[in-house]
Amino acid sequence: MLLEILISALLLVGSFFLLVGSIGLGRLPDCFMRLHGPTKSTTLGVGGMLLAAVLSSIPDGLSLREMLIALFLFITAPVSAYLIGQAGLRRRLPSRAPLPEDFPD
Amino acid sequence: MRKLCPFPTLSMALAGTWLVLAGISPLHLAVALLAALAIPLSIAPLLAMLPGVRSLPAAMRLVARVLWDILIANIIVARLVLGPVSRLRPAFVNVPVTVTHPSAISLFMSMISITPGSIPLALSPDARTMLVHVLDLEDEEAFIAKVKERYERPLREILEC
Amino acid sequence: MLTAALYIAFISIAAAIAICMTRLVRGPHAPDRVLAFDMLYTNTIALMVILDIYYSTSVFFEAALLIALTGFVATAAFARYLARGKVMD
Repeated sequence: MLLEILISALLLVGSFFLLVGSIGLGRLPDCFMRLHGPTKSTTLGVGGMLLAAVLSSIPDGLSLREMLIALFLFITAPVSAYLIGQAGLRRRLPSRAPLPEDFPD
Repeated sequence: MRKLCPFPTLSMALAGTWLVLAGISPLHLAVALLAALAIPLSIAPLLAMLPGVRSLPAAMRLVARVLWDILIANIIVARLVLGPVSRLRPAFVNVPVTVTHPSAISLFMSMISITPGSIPLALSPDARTMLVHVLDLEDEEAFIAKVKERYERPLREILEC
Repeated sequence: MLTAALYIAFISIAAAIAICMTRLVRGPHAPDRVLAFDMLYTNTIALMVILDIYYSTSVFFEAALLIALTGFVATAAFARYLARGKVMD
């Protein structure tokens, strides 16, 4: 019972943050600001979901495999944000914050 | 022993990962052992470039702090995203970098991108400054001081570089 | 209660995917579309996890792992291409 409550709570928290990240993607005005939503929500949103999956496997033998996906996403989320940001800087996309004149490479 | 298994932590992590993925059985134990011995040896030149860890407890504390900050960062960004967009003050900030080892710099950049509303976008060719986009900047000086104190200082203390 | 939570999570993820799709179609710039794709595959992983719990199997785990791996490589390749005009030096 307690386990079920915990799993439900993690599912709700995870999906909430994923939804918030997507809303940020849809709502914020320029590409650099939009970067923030997905990078943050990937970590906690998917992390919560995968933790729920690990907990739900407890009745028939704990399996930690889902945490590997979470670990992988934790490592790659900053990298993809950095690479997309580089693309935006190089193309000098419109931005609400003034773009730096000569950005380092 | 040192020659056969020069990176015990990595070997243990590899064997653990394999057992988590495949399940525990005699066959998988053998495969895990093989992976733990063969993979570090085959990429030894690459591993030699990594800095050593000075104190494991301090590293664990930093990991715990980063996990806690992920939680806080998500809540703050959720509030910013759901609040009025016109009140956000996005800005590009140049953060000076004092760690010099490439691994330390990339760890520092990864940690900045999980602090509330900031993403590093570029590093200067001499690796002395990094360009960070902040979603809602209140005080530039305070932001720079915070990330340097919270992440860069422990990194410099933990890594041998 | 778990079923209710699963349904709510399922609906939120579906809404998130719909928002990502509109961003993918609307753009307006190529990096925005890559970003939308990045978020899209993350949401898909979450969807797989929900299905896993709902059917209490683990057949979707491999799919989720593969999506995570290929999704990151695809995002990195797209972004590199947009930034430099080529994927590898």
